[in-house]
Amino acid sequence: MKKVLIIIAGFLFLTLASCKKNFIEKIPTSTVSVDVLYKTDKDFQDAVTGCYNVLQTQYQNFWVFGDLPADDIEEDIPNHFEHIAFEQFTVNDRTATLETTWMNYYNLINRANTLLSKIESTDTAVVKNKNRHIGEAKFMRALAYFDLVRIYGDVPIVTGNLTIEQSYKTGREKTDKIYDDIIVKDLLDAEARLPVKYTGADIGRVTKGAVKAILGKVYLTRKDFVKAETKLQEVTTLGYALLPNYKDLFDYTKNEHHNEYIFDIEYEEGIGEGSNFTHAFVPAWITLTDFYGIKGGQAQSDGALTPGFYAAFDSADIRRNISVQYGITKNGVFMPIPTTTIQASKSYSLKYVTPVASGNDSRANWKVVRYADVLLMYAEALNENGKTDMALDYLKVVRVRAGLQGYTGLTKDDTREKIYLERRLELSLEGQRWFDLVRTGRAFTTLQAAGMKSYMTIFPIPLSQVQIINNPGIFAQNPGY
Amino acid sequence: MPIIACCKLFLSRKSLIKTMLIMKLTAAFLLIFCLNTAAKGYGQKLTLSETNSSLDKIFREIKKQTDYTFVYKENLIQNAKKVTIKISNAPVEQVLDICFQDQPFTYTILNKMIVIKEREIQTVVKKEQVVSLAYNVSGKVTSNKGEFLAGASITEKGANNTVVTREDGSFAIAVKNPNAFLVITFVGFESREVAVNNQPVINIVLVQANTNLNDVVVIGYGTQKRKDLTGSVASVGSKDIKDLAVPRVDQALIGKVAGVQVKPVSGEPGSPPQIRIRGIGSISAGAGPLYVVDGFPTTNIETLNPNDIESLDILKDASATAIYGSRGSNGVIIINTKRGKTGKPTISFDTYQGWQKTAKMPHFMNAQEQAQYYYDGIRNRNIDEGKDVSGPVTTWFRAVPQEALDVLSGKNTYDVDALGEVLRTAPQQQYQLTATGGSENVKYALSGEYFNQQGIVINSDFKRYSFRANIDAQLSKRLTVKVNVNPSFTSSRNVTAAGAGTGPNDGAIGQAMMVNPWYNLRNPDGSYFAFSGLAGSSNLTNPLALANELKASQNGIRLLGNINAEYKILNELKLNVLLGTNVMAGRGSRFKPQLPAFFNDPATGNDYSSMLTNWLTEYTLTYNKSFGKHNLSGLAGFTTQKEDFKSNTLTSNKYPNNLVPALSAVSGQITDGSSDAYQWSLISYLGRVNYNYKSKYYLTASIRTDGSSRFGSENKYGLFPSLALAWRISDENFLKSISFLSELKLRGSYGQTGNNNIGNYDQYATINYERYNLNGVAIGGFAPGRLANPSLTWEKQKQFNLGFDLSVLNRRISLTVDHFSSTNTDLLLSVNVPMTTGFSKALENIGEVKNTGWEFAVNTVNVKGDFEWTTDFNLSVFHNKVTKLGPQGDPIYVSGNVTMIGQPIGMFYGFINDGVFKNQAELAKGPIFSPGSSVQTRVGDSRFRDISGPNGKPDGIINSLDQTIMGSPYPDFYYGMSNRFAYKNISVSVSLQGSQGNKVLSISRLGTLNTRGRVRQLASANAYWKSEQDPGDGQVPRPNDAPTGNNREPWNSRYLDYGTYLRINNINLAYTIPSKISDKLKVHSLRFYVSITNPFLFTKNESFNPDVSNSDDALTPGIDNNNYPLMKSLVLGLNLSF
Repeated sequence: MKKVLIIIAGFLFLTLASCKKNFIEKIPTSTVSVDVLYKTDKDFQDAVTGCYNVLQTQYQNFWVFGDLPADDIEEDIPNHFEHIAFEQFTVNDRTATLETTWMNYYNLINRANTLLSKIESTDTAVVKNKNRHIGEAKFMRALAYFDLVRIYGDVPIVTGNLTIEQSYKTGREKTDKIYDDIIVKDLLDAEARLPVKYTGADIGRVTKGAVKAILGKVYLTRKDFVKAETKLQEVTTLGYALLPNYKDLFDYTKNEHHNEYIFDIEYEEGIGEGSNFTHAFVPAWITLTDFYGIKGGQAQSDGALTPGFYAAFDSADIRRNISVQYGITKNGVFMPIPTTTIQASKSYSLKYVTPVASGNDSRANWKVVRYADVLLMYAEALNENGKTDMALDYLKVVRVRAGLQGYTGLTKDDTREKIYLERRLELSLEGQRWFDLVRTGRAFTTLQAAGMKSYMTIFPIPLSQVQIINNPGIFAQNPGY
Repeated sequence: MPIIACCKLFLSRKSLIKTMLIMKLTAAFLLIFCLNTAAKGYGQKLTLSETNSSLDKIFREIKKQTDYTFVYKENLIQNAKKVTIKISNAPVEQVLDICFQDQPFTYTILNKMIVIKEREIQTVVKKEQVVSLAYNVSGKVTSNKGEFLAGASITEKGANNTVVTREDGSFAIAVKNPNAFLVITFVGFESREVAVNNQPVINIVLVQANTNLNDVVVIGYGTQKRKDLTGSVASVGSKDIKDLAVPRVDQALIGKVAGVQVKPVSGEPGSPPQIRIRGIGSISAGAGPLYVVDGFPTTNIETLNPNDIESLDILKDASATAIYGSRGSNGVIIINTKRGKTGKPTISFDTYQGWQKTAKMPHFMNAQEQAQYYYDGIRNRNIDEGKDVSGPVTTWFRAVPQEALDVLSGKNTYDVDALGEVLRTAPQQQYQLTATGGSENVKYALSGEYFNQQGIVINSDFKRYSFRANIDAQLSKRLTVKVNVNPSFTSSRNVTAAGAGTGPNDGAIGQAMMVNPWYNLRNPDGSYFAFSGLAGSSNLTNPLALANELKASQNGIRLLGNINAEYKILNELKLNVLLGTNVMAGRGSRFKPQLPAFFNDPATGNDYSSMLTNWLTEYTLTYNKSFGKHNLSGLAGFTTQKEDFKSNTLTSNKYPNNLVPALSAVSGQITDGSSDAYQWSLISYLGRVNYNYKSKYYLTASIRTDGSSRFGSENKYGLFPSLALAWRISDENFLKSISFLSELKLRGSYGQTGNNNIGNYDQYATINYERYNLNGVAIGGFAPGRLANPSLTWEKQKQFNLGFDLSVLNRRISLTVDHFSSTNTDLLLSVNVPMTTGFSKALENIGEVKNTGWEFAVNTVNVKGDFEWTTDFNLSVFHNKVTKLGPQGDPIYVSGNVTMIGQPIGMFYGFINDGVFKNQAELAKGPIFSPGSSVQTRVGDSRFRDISGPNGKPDGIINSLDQTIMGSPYPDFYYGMSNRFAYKNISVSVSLQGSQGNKVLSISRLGTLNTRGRVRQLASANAYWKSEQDPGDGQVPRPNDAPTGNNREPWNSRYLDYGTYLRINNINLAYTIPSKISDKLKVHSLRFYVSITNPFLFTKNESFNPDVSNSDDALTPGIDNNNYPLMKSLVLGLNLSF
């Protein structure tokens, strides 16, 4: 017995010792190393999905930039400190939303950069949709930079995978350079690569029309009205049209990929892909949420519509009742939102109201750009280029859908004001108002009373980044903050 | 392929273990069975009639008539004389005395076992008698507990004349004269000197020595006598654990050991205390110790039965822990379980029954006070907004909720104690059956346990069924095999208690703390009240519904087992082979139904299962030899361990109704699912040399090399050396003359250890799985998940230790003092990197932390004799300091904690509250928060300390620059004390422990002190500012429905609660039935005890438990997040053995 044991022990000892080299090499089995991927067409398609995924995260909060600082809505929930800071112009370099936003966009840029660098050397025989993948990635990279410069001003340019060492030396670049070198270039490239339409499971991807529309917006933002006019005109030739009923734009039980749709951030309920818009824009009044079939009672309206916004509407404007509601009408009886202390907001918009089974799991998409926006941008470009009559024609298309008459015989300056107003009424709570005010130089005058200072057209860079890079020469805080 | 070879080997070894286990277990069971059936008719008298019979025959006869057995060496009774005996109804002893009268051997009775030995004593006595001395003295030697001491030496002082006591403690000695002195010595007892003084009979009582010098201390891969220790090792024995009725082994360590901070952070059944040995040496890689259970390193000791534990040895300094290499730097706790002893089987039954309730409750405003507070808060909001409040309340712009008005008018008289509805008095019980015994060749200890602890939060509990078989078999002269098998099953129902004090969540305690008292938790129809969309309350989840309806349970099955073969190659050289395994399988499920009280969210459920297998092989050679005055022992070893884990979770929110919580109800519509898998492996070589000269000068050196799958490719192996020196200076001649000095030993050590909890694959850049949806359909995708770090390595610790052990006055007072200083480098940190990399964090070995500390342990024997009183006291101090962080040294902020260079890890960070602005004049002096905005500071708001401004100087404005360190989660010192009193059969012990100077950051107070009436406020907030004329206590700001003046901006010192406390953590009273009575009852011993846990607590803390700590994360220590309350308990216990 004992001899047997000794032999066994000795044998085990020797064999184990010989195993040792492999014994301490273990590679992950429930995930893989990055290097094994980015080979097949499916890999790249999946990597594109990874990019869309960031947009889906970031655009849950896009209204915090696009609408909250502007004059259409106000935050009335006293303990939503961050939101109050955006509304009252007290954001600072520690405001968490500013840091997560910075992170989201550079995360998206890194994902796109990784994809673009890996796809370069692949063969189209293997990666059949190479053009589409590149087009989608470049569009999203451009959109990320477009949002970045509009939110932060100058930001670092990253077009490859930065090592940690390089990242410390990568400073902020001028906005103009970013527009020229990245945004416009990427969009032009994407425009050439992407199809006008998708079918079946690909519906929802970026189209040629989406690229042109965003490019038009970029030119408009840079006041390059000639290029804007050309590009936006091209969009009008792609078969888009306004929906007959304004209301249908916000009926999420119907197909959201209709004629007016150009590019949405897609959300879907029940599969962990829902958006928070319904809950974010509905008051916590249980009678109301029950009325609309909104479950998951943590609804807390962050965005009550301001009296000034309501007053801006013509009483005949059918958009008014969709954009501003003060209560519900049940069995023919109107019930105003009660004056409770819990729900501070006295008004809400119907734009994101849809039955929802659980909190923050709404199927409502976020509209990045839709055809009415394009028409109004086109009108604006035409007007700036001296084609006021043509501009009024396009403006009329939008107004007629809203149950209004077109304008006639306005001056260029009056037309400009009317277009601006139309944008406000048509596109409220769709992430446009603040950027329109800034783009057209009216932000400070409009919002001075709300606490805005003249330097606040851009937000501060996150303090964490300033501290980490710790080099004011290449990475200074925005003036004023 | 070596890997395949390995696998095959593992397999064959596994089946080998299995076969051997089955063999041994079967043998053990048979043995027990036989012994038990034989055990009938205790204490029977004997009737014998034998003429010239062999002893053998008589023994057989005795065995037949009684339950006694005989133990002796085979050839011993060959020379026995024949015996003639005629006796009836006589006790066994009488019969034996007759039988052994003229035999060359004698006997002792131990536990109904008659041990036969050669009659050495008689020969000694005879030899001395030859000298023919003048005076004969006889007597008996007994212990202070009344046991006869056999083998004690009686020496005539100044003469070469010694006798040894017989088995019954009796002796007879002839001395030179009637005035001689006798010196009586016995191992483990204090020596005595007695003057004969003409007495022919002297009975001597020896008192058990208060020395643990010869106690065996378990160290890594071996044992040592306490006397020979060079490192800092503390021990807690079964005696200290026995009567505490602790559900878990580690809870027995609370307050017991210097340098070991054990915090009962939660009262959840089955939950572990938080253990920190010598400070905090890691920021993000875990600071808990390594456990070694019967030689098997593991991190989970939940399934161990505390009654099975023989000893807990805590290795503190690096000289002791370095033998555990890359797992040693947080300290090591070695747990050994009880083993069988030679002798007749002892069967014991132990049980206790207990009742637990919440140890300490927070105090809240009553309904009236709360309603008034709400009213005032709305009023203040109206005033702040410039609205008129001079008219009746119904005309105010901001309405006071009707619920509050109803309470104030007396229309609503509810004053619901929501905490009372989710808390209860909960029973706990344990039953255990143990059998130990064995022959010289096979010894066994078997135990089976059932433990059931109901939680003090309704619907929570923990049950454990465990079994243990420890078998020691001497297979041949040279080969010994030990087998330990410990299967267990645990089952628990869990209620989530913790939850932030800010809004709806699943924390039953958190929600119960916040619901306003004017709502009944149930509607008149019995359904749960929904705290949703109410004017008089924030949206909250009904706590009673959470505790009752959110079903979560976990089951675990575990087998911890090992087999250890020791082969004596030479007398000095032994080979040990240890093969061990830890197999765990867990299942869990959770179901949250759809209820209005849960905001009608769809019902969701999940199902979780996991499987863990861990294998250990260990080969060690030990060598022990003395060369004259040189004593040498050595150890060399090779060990490997690997772990494999797999788990999966399935989730669905597609339940058709609340009736069936199982996932089968969702018709296959699983909405989320994932699986996880990891492996790690470790391969190590170790060695140690212990040398001493004359047991005076000691040297210990050890070394270990660890190779680990967790280490990056550039750092595959680590080396962990240590060295220790000790000098038992009390053995030096120049100190021998100091009579009061019993022992003085100086110790010094240095060593390097590591912490390898750095994640299993964190060196690799892996991908994350991501999702998007196109056209309403979810599609999968991926993205880079993190940056690679091929140089990722273990965290390193270097530690110095200096200490001494001092005993004086015959060891009545012992003192151990240690001072340590450790530096932990290469700490794993998720450092902030520029986000332009695409990531906000990267894992690097970059941090550095220093810990220094002092440990004092005093043990005294205050009174000796029939009445005995001993005291153990310990006190520890440590200072923790971060010396290095990320590349720029930027602080790590995590909610209200900050980790910054020059400060301890995880200090509390925020604004410092400086009372309230009592009037306009005070306000005018500032500083003011957010001047010009709607939330600017007003009279009645908190004043915060103006720490700094944009120019580095106070600027009269409160903003983020005024945040600073506002408190520490670490005590100035912590301490523990146990007093034990024993008188005859009664013993009493009282243990206390405490902590001084630390704070707790209460996330709970974000609700309970948030200045809004929408959630329930602590009673202490009643002293709030009401008006300039009635400013309250000057500390509590005014209520305000829309808080102004930074009163709620995340963190300020109002949210710090006290961590200082003194707790009587156990009082125990035990009574052993005197042997006269137990003999009559025909039992071996019978003992009753009462144990009261946490009866008294002295503290200013306003919550449940000053020891609370929401997470184990070193970055966020001392957070109170409405965690599961701690209980006090009363336990009645019984120990019965046959």
